[in-house]
Order: sequence, then structure tokens, then C-alpha cells
Amino acid sequence: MDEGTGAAAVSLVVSLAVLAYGAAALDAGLGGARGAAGAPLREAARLLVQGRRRTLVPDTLLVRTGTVLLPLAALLAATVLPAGDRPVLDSGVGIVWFNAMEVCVWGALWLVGWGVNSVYPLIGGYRFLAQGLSYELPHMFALITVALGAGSLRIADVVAAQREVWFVVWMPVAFVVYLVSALAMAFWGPMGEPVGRNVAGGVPAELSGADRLVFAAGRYALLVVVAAAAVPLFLGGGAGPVLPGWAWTAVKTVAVLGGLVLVGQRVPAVRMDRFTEFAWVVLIPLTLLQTLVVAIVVLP
Amino acid sequence: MGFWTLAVLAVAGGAAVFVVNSMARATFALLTSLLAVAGTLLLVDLGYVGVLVVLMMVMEMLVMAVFMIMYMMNPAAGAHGAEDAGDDGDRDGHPGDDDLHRGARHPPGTVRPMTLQSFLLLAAALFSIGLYGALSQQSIVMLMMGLELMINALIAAGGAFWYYVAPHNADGQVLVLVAVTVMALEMAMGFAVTTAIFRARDVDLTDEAGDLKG
Repeated sequence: MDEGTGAAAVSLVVSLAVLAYGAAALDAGLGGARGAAGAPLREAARLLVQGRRRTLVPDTLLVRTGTVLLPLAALLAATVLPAGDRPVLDSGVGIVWFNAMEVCVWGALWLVGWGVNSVYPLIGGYRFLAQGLSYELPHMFALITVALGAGSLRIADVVAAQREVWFVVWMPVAFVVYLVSALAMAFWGPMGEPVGRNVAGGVPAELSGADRLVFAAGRYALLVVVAAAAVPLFLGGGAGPVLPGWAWTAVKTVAVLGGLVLVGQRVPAVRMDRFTEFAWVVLIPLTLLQTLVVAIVVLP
Repeated sequence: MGFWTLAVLAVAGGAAVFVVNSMARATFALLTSLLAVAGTLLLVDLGYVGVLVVLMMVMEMLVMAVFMIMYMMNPAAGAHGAEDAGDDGDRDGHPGDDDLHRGARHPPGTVRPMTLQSFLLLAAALFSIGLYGALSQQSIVMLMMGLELMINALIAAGGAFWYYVAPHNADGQVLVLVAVTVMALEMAMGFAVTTAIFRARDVDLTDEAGDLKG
């Protein structure tokens, strides 16, 4: 690892933490909490001094693995996203890497839901699997459309391909589908049934103390990462007048992230059996049509 | 070095599938083995295929987890295999004795270089464990885990053959993709059959479904 990569890695972790904190604070503020700017800090302090609750015969190994896997998957997915001039991991298959790391979240949630040996977390874990099977195919087609438009799976090439026209302009369907699946990936807002109130908090219901803090931090980090990925994929990366690339990336990321948090606060929950039908019957054909349009445009 | 770590992890994960006493742990032990093999693919310049295998296997194992609970409500009941599966992923492969191995640029004596032989050794170990599982397990889900381990061996061997024998053609990569597809197909068809027979006769053990035996 050379010096530039090390610096990029450090700045990635720091910006991920700052944005995740910001998202948590904004969410608390929109939820009507007083002193929202410090709310995540107070919650973190409360969780750190909280005693650890135990359920009857939990599979501790699986719970710990799942809990740690959530922020880890978010971080690994973020490594291919270019924050400034280049990403930490300039992979030739960056889009597939992002997709693979994001799918690891399925494992994280199911492991926690199963491992604590309690009914509501288990239901939450299964809800997320159903959600995953619903959103994943439209999501993949949206990513394929982007890769097709750029003619490359490398995210730097995707950014370069948007020098003239941002992908959001001529791939609006893929962009909207991406945003919907972004909510589903981070089990946020209307797609938050795996951690819904009607199953007593779902997957993390039995987590307490530091475990719960890691899980919550991982969820916000994931929300940041899925929002940040929309920028190089659809919004031209760091392109923009006057300001340098990293600043535009930050501005666009904050805008998408703010939108997602706002939607999370304002839109009611979606029932997954209905969404599955909608995703498979409506979204998949729509994304296929979008891919067809892009394929015709890029046809040499 | 990286290869041997991954190889030991793959074999240990494969062996653990039939040793641990919880179906959830067995599923994720299998996933560990599959991901370690995907890691070895990354070592032989199979970037796309390797990451694709990661993507596919995580999704597949999670779907397997759904069926696992469906058929085995007592999660610990299925996994009672004895611990005799091979765990010898780290035996040596006589480095430097033929023209197939490309590791000669490594300085001698530091770390055993990664060769075609070492890949085949890994594949043989994984295949043996999978075969043991497929022959010894009665539960259909566990039996399918054995099959998956055997296909996992095929993926490792296919990737290595492409890299060491015919790196100029894409055939070997396609072979790996075929193996991954076979794995998905095996899951889809296997669980379809299992679901049908479970609904019709409440059967989830192979011995209770031996009617067609000649």
C-alpha cells in the first residue's frame, strides 16, 4: 500500500464516519428530537454504558460475526467509490465488487436475527431476505445499465463516461430504481420492515450495549455508502464548475443522503409481499427496457 | 502465503460443515469455504469471476438458510458427521519440478509458491470432503451441502487450469461460470424436489425416499 492509498483509506473512513453521524443527527432532527446535533452522541454514550443483555442460549459467534459484518460490508463497498481523484481500491470490476459487498448485508442481518435465538429478530432476518430477493434483480439491472452505458465495470471509467451527459439524464429509470433499492439495501424508511416497530424492532431487538451501537453505526454507514454510490454511478462523480472534485462529490453525496433520510421520515412502510410483486412485475421489465434503450444508444 | 491461508480456510470451512452441531453454523462454514475459494480465484487474475462467485455464493447460502429452517426445525439435528474429513490443505506440492508452475520468480525458501499442483491439492481436499458429506449425510439439505463442496472444488480447479494451462483463451473462465450455474441449478432443482416430497409425504431424509432404488 503506497502513501496515496493510505491517505485515501484514512480520508474514506473519516468521511464515512462524519456523514454517518450527520445522517443520524438529521434523522433525529426530522424525528422531532431536541438538540438533534448531539443526539447520536448521547445515544452512543448511553449504549456504551449500558449493561449487556443476554437471551437464552444465543449463538454468540454468529451474532458477533453478523454485527461486525454490517459496518465492515459498508466499508468494503465504499472502497471502490472515488471520493477525490481516485478510489482506495481501483478495481477493474468495481461495480460487481460494490454489489457483492452490499449483498453481504443479507448475511449480516440473517446472522444477527438467527443468532440471538429470539422470535422477532428471526422474523426481521427473514423479512430482509425476502426484501433482498425482491430488490436485488431490479438493482442489478440498474447497475448493468450503468456498466453498459460506460462500457466498463470500473467506476472511474463510469465517471469518465459522464463527462458530456450525466447518466441520470438518459437513464432516469435506472436511477429511480437504484434509489428505491438503495432504501431497501440499507433497510431504511419505507423499506425498514426488517427493523420495523411491528416486530418490536426486528433484527437488532435483542442487541444491547456496544453490539447495538455497532449495528446502528453500520446501518447509517450503509445508508451513506448507498447514497454515495449514486454519485459516481449516475450524477457525474466529481464533475462540476468552480469547486474541486472532492467537494462536488461531497455536495452531491450529502444531497442524495439528505433525500434518503427525508424519505425515510416521510414515507410510510411498504409491505414486502406487495413490493415483491411490484418489483418483479413492474420494475424488472422497466429496467430491462431501460437497458435496451441504453444498449441501442451505445451500439457502435 | 495468501494462497495457503485461503486454502487452509477453505478446507477447514468445508470440514467444519460436517462437524459443527448447528445447521446455521454449517451453512456459514460452507460459505466460508466458498468465499475462500473465490479468494484464490482473485489470486490468479480472475477478478470478475472471483467477485461474481462471492456475490452468487452469499445469496445462495442465504437462500439455503431459508430452506434449512423450513425442513429442519430442530437446527442441531442434522449435523452429526464424524470428524474424519481431510484437513490437509497445506501439504506441499513439490515446487519447481515441471514447466507448468509459474511461481519460479519467488525467492526460494521463503514461502512455498502457488502452483497448479497446490490448486489441485486444494480441489482434491475439497472434493473428498464433499464426497464424504454426500455419502454420509441423511438429511437432504446436508447432502446438498456436500454436493456444493464438490462443485466448489471444481471451481478452484477450473480457475487454476485456466491460469496455468490455457490463459490465452477464455474457455477456463467459462468453465468456472458453468460450475457456478450448475451450483445454482442444483439448489433450485434440489429444493424444488425436496419441497415436493416434503409436502407430499413429510419426508426430509434420503433413506425415507428410497422407493426408486432398483
